[in-house]
Formats: sequence, C-alpha cells, structure tokens
Amino acid sequence: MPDIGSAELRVLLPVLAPLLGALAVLLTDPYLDKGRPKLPLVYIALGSLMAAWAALGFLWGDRVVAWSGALAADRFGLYLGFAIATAAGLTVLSSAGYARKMGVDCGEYYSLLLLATAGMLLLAMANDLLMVFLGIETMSIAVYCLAGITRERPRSVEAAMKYFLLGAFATGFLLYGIALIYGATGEVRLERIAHHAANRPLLLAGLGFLLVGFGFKVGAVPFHMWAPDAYEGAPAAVTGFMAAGVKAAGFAAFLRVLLTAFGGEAAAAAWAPALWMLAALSMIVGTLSALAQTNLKRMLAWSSVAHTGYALVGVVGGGGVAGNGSAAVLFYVLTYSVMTLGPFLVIALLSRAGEEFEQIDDLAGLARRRPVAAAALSLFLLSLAGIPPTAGFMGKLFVFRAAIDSGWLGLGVIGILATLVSVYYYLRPIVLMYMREPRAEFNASEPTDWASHFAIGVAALALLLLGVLPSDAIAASLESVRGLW
Amino acid sequence: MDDLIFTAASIVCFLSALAVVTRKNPIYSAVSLILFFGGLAVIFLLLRAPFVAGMQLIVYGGAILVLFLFVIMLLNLREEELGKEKGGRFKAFAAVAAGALALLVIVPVMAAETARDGFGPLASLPDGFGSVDHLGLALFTQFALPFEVTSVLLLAAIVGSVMLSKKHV
Repeated sequence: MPDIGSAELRVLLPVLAPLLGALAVLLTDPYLDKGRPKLPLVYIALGSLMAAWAALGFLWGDRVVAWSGALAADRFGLYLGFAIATAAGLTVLSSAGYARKMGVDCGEYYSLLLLATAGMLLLAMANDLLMVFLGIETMSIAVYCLAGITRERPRSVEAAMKYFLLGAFATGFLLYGIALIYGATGEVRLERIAHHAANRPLLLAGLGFLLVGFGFKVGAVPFHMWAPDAYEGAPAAVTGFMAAGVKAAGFAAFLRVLLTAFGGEAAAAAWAPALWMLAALSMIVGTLSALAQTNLKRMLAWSSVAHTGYALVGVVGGGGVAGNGSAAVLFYVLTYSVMTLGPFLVIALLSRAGEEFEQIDDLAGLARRRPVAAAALSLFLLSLAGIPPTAGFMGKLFVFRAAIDSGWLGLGVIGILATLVSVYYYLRPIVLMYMREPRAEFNASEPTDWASHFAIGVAALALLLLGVLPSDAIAASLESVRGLW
Repeated sequence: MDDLIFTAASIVCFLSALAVVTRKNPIYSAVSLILFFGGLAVIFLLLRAPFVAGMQLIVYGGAILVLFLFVIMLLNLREEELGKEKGGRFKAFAAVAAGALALLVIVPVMAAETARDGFGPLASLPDGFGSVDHLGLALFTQFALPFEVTSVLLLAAIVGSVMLSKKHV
C-alpha cells in the first residue's frame, strides 16, 4: 500500500497545476460575456503554467520516485518538462490574439491545451510503461481535438482526422509492445525490465513494437506520413505546440525507456541499428521533401521530421552512461522545441481573421511592413538551419560530436550533409522577406498584439542565450542523464 | 476440457470477427460484434480472469454495443446509401493487411513458445489471481496513479468531443 505522503503529492505538483488550470478554465468560461475577448481564461492558463514552472523548479534536484514507481521526478524528466511548460506558455500568449482571429476563443481551447500539457508532463516523468501509455494518450487525444478546432476549415478537420486515425493505429502498436514486454518479464516498471536478459524473442518483439509506436509520436521516417498534413491543416498556434511540446514529451519518454529499460549492452545492440536507419531516413527524407514545399507550415513539418532525425543521431550515439549522446539529445530537443515554436508564433501573429498566413511567397517584402516579425522569423530559421551564434548551432554541434566520438561516423556525416542542404530552404524565406517587393497586404491596420510579440521576443531571446551561453543548459543536461541511475 | 472450450470459443470469435468486417449492413456487423465479445469473455474466463470477462460482457457487449446500435439506427441508412460493394483490389489489399497484422501477433508468440520464454503456466499464478478483490486492491494501491490518470484522459476526451460537436464555439 503506497502511503499517500508528501513525496507522492510533491511529484504530482507539476501535473496538478495545468490540470487544475484546465478545470478552472472550464468552470470560468460560462460566466464570461459572449463576444468579448476572453482574457480571464488566458490569465488562468498562464497562471497555472507558471505554477507548473515553479513546481518543476522546486522539484529540481535528487531523484524522487513515487506512486509505486509509476512516476519519477528526476532532472531527466524535469529538464524537458521546462521545455514543455515554456512551449505551452508561449502558445497561450500567442493564442490570446490568434484564437480570436480564428473564432475559437473558447474555454475548450485553453482547457484542451492545458490537459495536453498535463499529459506531456506526465509522459516526461513516467517511470513505468503504463504511465507512458496514459501520458501519450492524454496528450494525443487533447491534441487531436485541438488540430480540428477550426471546424469551418476543411483542411483542419482533415488534419485532425488523419492525425487521429494514424495516431490510434500507432497507439495500438505501442500497447501491443507493452503487452509483449509485460508477457516476457511480468513487469511494467522500467528499471525492473532492465533486470531481465534482453536477448529473448518476446522482449525483443515488444521492443520493436515500442520503437514503431514512439517513432510515430516523434515523427520519424517511415512513421511520419501524418506529419505534413497534420501540421499544415492544424491552426498555426496548435501546430507550434504540436511540433514543440508533443515532440519534446515523446523524446523524453522514448529516451527514458531506451536508457532505463533497454540500456544494457545486449539490448542496445538490438535497437541501435534500427534507430540508425530511422535517423538516417528521417534526415534524408525530411530534408529532401522540405526543399520542394511552397507552404511554410508544410515546409516546417518536413523540417521537423529532419530534426527528429538529428535528435535520433544523439540517441544512437548515446555512448551509454559515460557518453554525452543522451545529454546531447536533451539539449537538442530543448533548443529544437523553442526554435520550431518560433516560426509558428510568427505565422499566428501574421494570420488574418479566419485565414492562415502560410504561403512562402506571401512572405515577400515582409521586412518593410513588419520589420520585427521578419527579424524574428529570420532568427528562428537561421537557428533551425544551425547557423552560429544561435542555439540550433550548439545543439547540432553537441549531437554530431557525441555521435562521431562514439564511433557512428556515417551517421554524423549524413547529418552534416543534410544540414548543408537544409540551409537552402531555410534561407529562401529570408531572401524573400528582405530582397523582394511586398506583394501581399500585411495586416498592419490591426491593433498591435503585444502578447504575441512578447512570446516571440521570449523565444528569440532564449535562442540567442542558449546559443551564446549554452554551458549552463549543457551542464544541466549532463547532470540529468547521470541522475537517471 | 479447457482445450475444447478454448477451441470452441476461438472458432466463435474468429467467425464472428470475420462477419463484422464482411457484412454490408452495419446492424449485422454490430450484432456479430456482440457474439465476438461473448467468445472473448469465455477466453478470459479460461485465463482465470473472471472480472475482466464480466467487464467485457457488461461494458463492451452491453454498453458500447448498445451505443453503436443507437447510432446506426439514428443514421437509419437505406440500402442505396450503404454504397456499392468495394472492388476486388480493395478486398485483396484488406486481406493482405489483415494477414500481415495476424503475422505480427502469431510470430512473436510462436517464437516465445519455441524458446520457452515468457507466458508462465497458469499453475504458477498466486491464489486468487484475477479475482475482484485482488484486482481492486491492485487498482487502488500499486496502480492508483494510472487509475486516476485514466479519468484525466477521459476528461480530455469529453471536453474534446463536446467542443467538436458544438454548433457554435
């Protein structure tokens, strides 16, 4: 019988904050005037996310395992927890204006956002396979609904439907893998699974299905088919949240399962070649497909597939406990979640009532009309391309060096080549913004959306800070991985 | 005896599952699904999981199937609205996909069986395994948090479905 003592409640704090926020939003919504901006909901959402941030900071320290081992508050989970809470907070800030433009300024929007955040934080701290599954599902169901929230746009409904159907299919694989692992070991707790010999067919089959399920959630080739349509169709603020939060939480759980339950040499020898293929294919297919896109959101979707590949390079080149690969993945996913959220914040800012700003050609001459937005978007794209002094450069450097140091030279070379090619499609929007005459009319007449500007500013500042002074974040990521054991 | 019951239940499951996907009229599919859940409940009983068997009948065979039937009847599709029979190519693709999924289940289980790995014998289970009191204890002690988080998951699903089906946001 677990004693519902202080450890149990303390570990839950970061999850309880957005959860209570979601309930408060739902209860407040009916009392607000219809037709007026629903600012109180934004305040509640922001407040609960700041509380989650504070709780994450409060727990930062030694590893605390609670709820019969279901949940572990250790630096590993909290590290990406910060990225998740930040991404959710910036999304809420940008939604204050964007949701009104899109006609979805309602309680359900904010409460689903907060419920998804709660699921992501659970996923980042999940220490047994049951919690991994429940975290993934809580996060995914909320995000499926958010993707289809602009119901008048057929593309949004299509995105939600495709994401839901393929997601449900992938969840089946994940659950089947968990069932096989449980059948082989009789355990769902990660550290206990590690005690079983890994060369058993049932366990390996289970691991294989887990890889498929996680591969889908993080959008790795060949399990990426949903990503372009879902990213393109979903409303921009939601897409940003999907790209940043879902991926960060997915990687947190993926890495924890691989390192804790399948971290032994025999098990690692089984999954490393499979992930090698996933990483190489994701980088190559993601980069080449992004080259041909004319839609900015679709281009960013393919770019996020490529970035999954870069992060997987670090997973493959983890180098075990002593290596830097796993820490490199944490740092990479942290920077990635900020720099991929950024462009979507800009798209949300530039979108007009009921109409997304998403064609790359529409960016022409943006620098003259909206210099701040253009500068920020350029910074985000440069960081995605991995050009110093931005955070994207530090992340890639750390990941590729870890992979090459632990002997995965081929993967490092593919990564560097893919990065070089990717510079082309990241630079094209920048060239358009600064060197072409304006073609489209930008909504300069609307009142300035300060909340959105603030969110963009925070993201840009974070990228520059992580790029120029990365040592603290890198040191924390190294500590996080060491703290797993 | 166990083998005989298992074989009979499996045949019922297999045939009714086949009927679910091959019947054109959705009512027949739904009724076949009830039969399938019944066969599955028998298999759960054989696996010493009487509570799961009961839940299978009450929740799936009862509540969820009634919901399915209600939806089908509310839609009240006429013969011509059911659409044409799908072409041979579609059927071939569906058969290949189903076969591939079946292999995904059969291969690992057979591999485990030949390597004598996992799936311990039923005799080695502790006394009272699968009974209601054991399950209840596990649910409220060792698995208390997953149990509670499930309610959060359901809340997210409820909020989402209400939002998607509202006329005006």
